[in-house]
Amino acid sequence: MAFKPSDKRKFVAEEAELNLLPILNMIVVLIPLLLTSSEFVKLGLLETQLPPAAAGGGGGMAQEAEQPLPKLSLIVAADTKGLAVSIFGATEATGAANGQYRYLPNAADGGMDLAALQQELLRIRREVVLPTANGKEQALDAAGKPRFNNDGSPAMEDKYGFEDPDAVIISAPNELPFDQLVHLLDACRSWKDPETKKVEVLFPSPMMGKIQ
Amino acid sequence: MAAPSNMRKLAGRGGKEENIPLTSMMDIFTNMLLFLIMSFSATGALMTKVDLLDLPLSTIDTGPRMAVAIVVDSGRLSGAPGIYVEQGGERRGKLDEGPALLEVPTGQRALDPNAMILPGLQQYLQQQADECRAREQQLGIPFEGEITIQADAAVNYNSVLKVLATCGSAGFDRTEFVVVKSE
Repeated sequence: MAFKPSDKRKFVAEEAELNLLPILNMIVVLIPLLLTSSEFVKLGLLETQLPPAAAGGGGGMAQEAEQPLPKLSLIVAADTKGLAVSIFGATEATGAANGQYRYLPNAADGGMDLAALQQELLRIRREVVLPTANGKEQALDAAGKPRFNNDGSPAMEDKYGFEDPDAVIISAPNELPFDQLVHLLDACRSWKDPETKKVEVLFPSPMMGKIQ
Repeated sequence: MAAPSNMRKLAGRGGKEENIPLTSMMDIFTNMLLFLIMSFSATGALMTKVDLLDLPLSTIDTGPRMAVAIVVDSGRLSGAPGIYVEQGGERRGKLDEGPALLEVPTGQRALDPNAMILPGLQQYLQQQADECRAREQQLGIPFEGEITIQADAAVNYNSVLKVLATCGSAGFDRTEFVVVKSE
């Protein structure tokens, strides 16, 4: 008796080819789209304010306390020979002895001594501002409106005993180039510990003016 | 009688139809796609650096935002100092000429607050502020007096002050300078 041979032996599977055309079409569209929107130069925004007297209104620092807090009035005034750092409106005559005024001559290369400036600002932050910390309060944005976290809760920040604990007034000679001004603002904003790499906030709200 | 094509001849002799090898191209495309998706950022659509402008380097980490935008050009690279409207990374209209921007008020004029005002910029910003306030009333989009400034690294401090004073006088008191992040 003859047996019928198995169908499996006769069956030869055809080699199927993947249809890559739709994927290729999608990739050819996606790559130019992503290339055009790529950010090869990372841009940032450096926020500055006008001194309150010259501001057009709406901005400035909010003042919530019933009794006005004292003003720190931190001023960094650059001239062609160096940087003058003063607090509480002190001058060379009134503040040099009590640490409220310090003049930092230019560095050996003739440029502003930004490292010395950061050390002086760090000293003012640690010795004058931080000891006045008094609880927390809701943070305000530059327009004076309350800030909130991403989850909707109020953004809180340390409360200090000054009306302007984060502000620094910058004054510079007319001919100072903008890139040097930006370096000066960077130096005033924060200090990075070279050993621990920890960043410490100094005075992140610069106001630009001119001291006659 | 027409001669049979080469392909037919090959097929007749047992030749195979040649396919373009796409595998290597697909590999490259896939890698490129993954890299671009990983580094995708929408900030390019918000703000683009204007050509022939040398923006200063900064350690700031704040990202770009959409706002009224102007360009302050020292003319060092472009040869055309002045203030321009910025749109989509290009200079559009010229608002103020170079001499008005670079002039340092001296003597009696130094005491005049209007000496620091740039007339073309002020007119443009007042118009923009009016439009923003109208949008605020009609659509509820708040006007926060925000303006972004692309200023050349060689622009001097006096010009920066003039621009800031003019912005403040027109109701734009949240001025933000565009910088290139150095880290």
